[in-house]
Amino acid sequence: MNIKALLKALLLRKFATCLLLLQLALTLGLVVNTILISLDTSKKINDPLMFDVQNLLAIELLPTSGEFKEQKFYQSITEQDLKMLKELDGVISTAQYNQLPIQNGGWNGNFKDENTPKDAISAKDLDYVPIFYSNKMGVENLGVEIIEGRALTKDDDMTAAYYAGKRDELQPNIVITQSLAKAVYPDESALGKLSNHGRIVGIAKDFMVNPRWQGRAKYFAVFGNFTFAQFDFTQNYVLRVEPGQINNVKKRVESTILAIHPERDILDVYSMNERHKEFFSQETGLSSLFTILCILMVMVTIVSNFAHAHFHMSQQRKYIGIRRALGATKRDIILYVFSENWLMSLFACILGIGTTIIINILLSQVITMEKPDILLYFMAVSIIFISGTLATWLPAYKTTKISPVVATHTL
Amino acid sequence: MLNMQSISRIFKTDTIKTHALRDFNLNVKPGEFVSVTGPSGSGKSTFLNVAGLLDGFDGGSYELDGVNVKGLKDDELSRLRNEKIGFIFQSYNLIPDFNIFDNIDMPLRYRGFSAKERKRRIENALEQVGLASRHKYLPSQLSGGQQQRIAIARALAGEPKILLADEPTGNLDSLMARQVMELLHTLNEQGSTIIMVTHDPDQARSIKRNVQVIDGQITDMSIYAPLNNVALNKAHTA
Amino acid sequence: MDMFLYYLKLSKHNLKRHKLFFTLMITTLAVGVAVLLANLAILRVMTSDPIPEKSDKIFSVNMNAWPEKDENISESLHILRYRDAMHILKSNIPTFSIAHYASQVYARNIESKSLTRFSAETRATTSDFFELTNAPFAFGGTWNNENSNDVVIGADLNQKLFGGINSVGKTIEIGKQIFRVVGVLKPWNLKPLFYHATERRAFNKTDDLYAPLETALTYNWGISARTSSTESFSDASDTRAKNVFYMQAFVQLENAQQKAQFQNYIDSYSQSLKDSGEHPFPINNKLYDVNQWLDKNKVVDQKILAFALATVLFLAVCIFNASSLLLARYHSAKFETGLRRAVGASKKNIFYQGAVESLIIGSCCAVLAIILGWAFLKFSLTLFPYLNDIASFDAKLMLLGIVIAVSTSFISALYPLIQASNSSLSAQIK
Repeated sequence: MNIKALLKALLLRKFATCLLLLQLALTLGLVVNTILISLDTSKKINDPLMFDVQNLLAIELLPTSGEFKEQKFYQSITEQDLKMLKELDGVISTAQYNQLPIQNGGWNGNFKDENTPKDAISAKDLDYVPIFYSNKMGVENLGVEIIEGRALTKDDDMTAAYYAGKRDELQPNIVITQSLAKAVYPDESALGKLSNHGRIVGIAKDFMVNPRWQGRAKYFAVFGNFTFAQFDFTQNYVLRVEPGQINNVKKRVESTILAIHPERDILDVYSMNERHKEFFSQETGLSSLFTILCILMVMVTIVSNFAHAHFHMSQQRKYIGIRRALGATKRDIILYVFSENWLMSLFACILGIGTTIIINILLSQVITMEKPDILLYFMAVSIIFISGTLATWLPAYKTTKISPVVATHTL
Repeated sequence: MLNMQSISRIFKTDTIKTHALRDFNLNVKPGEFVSVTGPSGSGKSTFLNVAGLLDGFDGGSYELDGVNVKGLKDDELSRLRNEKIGFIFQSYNLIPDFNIFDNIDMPLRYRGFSAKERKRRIENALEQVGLASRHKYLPSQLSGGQQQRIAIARALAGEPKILLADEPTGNLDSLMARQVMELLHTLNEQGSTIIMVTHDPDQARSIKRNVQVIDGQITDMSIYAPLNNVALNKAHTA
Repeated sequence: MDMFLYYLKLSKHNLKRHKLFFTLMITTLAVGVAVLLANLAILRVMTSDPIPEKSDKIFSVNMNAWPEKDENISESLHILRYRDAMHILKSNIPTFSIAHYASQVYARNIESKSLTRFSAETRATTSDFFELTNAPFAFGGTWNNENSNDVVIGADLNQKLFGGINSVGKTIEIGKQIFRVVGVLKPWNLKPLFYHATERRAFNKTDDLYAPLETALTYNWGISARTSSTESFSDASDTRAKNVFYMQAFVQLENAQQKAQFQNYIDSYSQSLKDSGEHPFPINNKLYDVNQWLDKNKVVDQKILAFALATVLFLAVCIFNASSLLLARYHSAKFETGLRRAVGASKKNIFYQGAVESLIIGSCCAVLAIILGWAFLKFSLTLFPYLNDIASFDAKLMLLGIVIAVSTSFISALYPLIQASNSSLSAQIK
């Protein structure tokens, strides 16, 4: 295999060779970075949720009539809603919530021990801890276990005290998640401690509250027993259903609620699964777009590879004929054609290291990107080699048809 | 018509200089029919390329129909080629997927003639070569001899001052070759100036004036002078 | 002109003769242009200036009057307290000044037989709002009294409540209270929504209902956007007296002088807060004009930018590919090119012939690119439904598509054409 001769042949057509090399290198760079984006998205979506996502149905609603401004009225309707919904076939438990996990933004507050000195610096992630207000079923309804202490009970309900104007004196009993407990009370048990949101009576197992936050903050949550009933604040119901019953229950939810009081706007009914998918829809969307672009690019590069091989071989017709006249077999010629393509791919892969890094840097300016690693690079390299080989197949086959008599033709 | 003085054409590669033409002198008057002979590699083709303005030259001067071609830009050279020269190739060089009409039409397009004028000329040229009314045929539908005559028609359509023919019968059998030669002779009798490169000594003999090219230089042979070794004995220095 | 027609004829001939080549050429180039076009359809709106006639005169007021020392809030905030907003409104330096917050209510036409209440995205704001934002009125105008029950409604809500008629003077019921319509807006397409560009709302539709700020607070219309506070509060009216940061303020300042004056005004206010010990942070009040504000809020979706980068690379690859294909083609056309030159075509003639062919390719490419671009856009919108209101595939974009397609066709043909017209003659024909 005469590498030098191949090189010389390529150098003769510098421009065409450069064009193909650039194409291959750019394609390589994009393929690697697309795989990075896809892997990243995949990781995010497959981050374990650790609560009963499969069997949870969520309902978002708002009252439309001014009657609901009366808190007691609003609360009684809420209780009736939950009772009737629980009686539906397939429903295990129900609860109302001021907000749901897996969302952007939300109702957050800073969380610290009540005895923390005023000028103490707290960790940044403790400034935005999600505060969930639900009924006593709140934690259990999501399929989350209490691992220390106890769950909230009817007696922990702070609703009456809150609306009686005793808000600032309240020290309600709360349940917090493991990670939050460890964050605020690293060396001791959090049970019994008084925080700025209430007394901790139970610690729940960690579950995915905020997938986009970093590290331990993903699992921070505070649960209080409180029926928040504000006229213009979206109410959330979550129904825990038997496996496989989501669609059945979904059908009957709206009629059940409206039967209790028709002046409600049912904004949305969806499963937690759908909520999770929707949450990451932009990431998955971008990943899909990039993947499609990559496929298109590889296809265009295949066309180029084909044209390059075809053109180059037709230029070398006479030389190939001469080789055959001098004794080269068809196999030798095919190998020659493919070697040229492989040499190009090799150079492209070297150039591709540069383009991959540059594209990665450019993309990092606008979205968070992982750095490319060797394994991934080789994966992309193999895609380039394979597509190049496929593209060269037809021209290679055609060169075998060049008969040795071509050597004797004049010009 | 054509006046070359001390023309030299050198082909250079990295290490070697080849003098394809050296101190080449030729004067062709209007209405002459000149055959150009010589062994392979003697520079005949190079001469024809230079004469036809297809290639440049390195030294000397070349006047075509009174125009000094040295230093002319590509635009002007192309115009000269288009208006004054009619080229006839050994392998006819018709464009296979254009029909006869469009093939002959090609050089006329670059002249800027009106559609009417072009049609007139094409029909005229076809008459001259005896192939009127074959407009829509494709070259592949004609015999070799007919194709060469079409190529001649293409050369004639522009009413050039000089016809340059490069072994025009080289690819034809003897019958067709004779037909083509008859055509050329007729054209010459009608006043066309023709320079023809040929390998065939009989053909050369049939033409009034013969010029031999050996090693890039010219040797003028007058009419009916037999080919002898006199020219071959000339001394050549690098 | 004649020559142009001749070149067209030759191009047509070539197209028929080399179908595969032309198909590949046009398709691969069109795909590159199409994907870029789809992207541009989205980016155009995202990067546009929503109010070019005075985007440099309208400013978002940001202050860092957060009353508690907190490591994590050091930047100035766009959300203000009631007292801060009131102070801003008091100044007579700006031509127009507004404070607003976003809410949501259910409204019903009092005279309607149906009991259906329609959801209305609401803006509680001050009467200058419409002049500042150049909101287009179809009927009526803004309210005169900041404590009145007068409201302005948008075209959509007007259609839902009143069937689209001139409803000035009509009454509606919201949460058991009666309100009077004093103005109806024309359909108002404001993209990006510069007056509420935060919390991913920059591409929401304009609001359905506009009500006086004080009235909304009094009736406790809830706050549906970012709210941060250092103390707990029960409802909207409670926020007048507490450190609840949620209102946004915008002012119109005509020139640099006014801007400096106003900056001074709010800085002095901050100073007075500092003097009374209520302003722990160093004074850092900022005024961002519309485009600066949109920039700061990264209104242009970074993901779309990332994809835009990828599409540019893709177009480059497509151009390189087209160039390769052309090189191959001109090489195989060497015979004909040589012949033309031999019979008198100049290098320029050959170049122009190629240029015309390039024009044909570019035009076909443009048509295909527009069709594919539209299809690709539709597909992208299924992945990103929130972009539905943002992407626009109109005549201007199609014109841009044609320009891009034709120029990329030329660019890819440039080097191959130059090569083809300059190659030495004699070698090509024998």
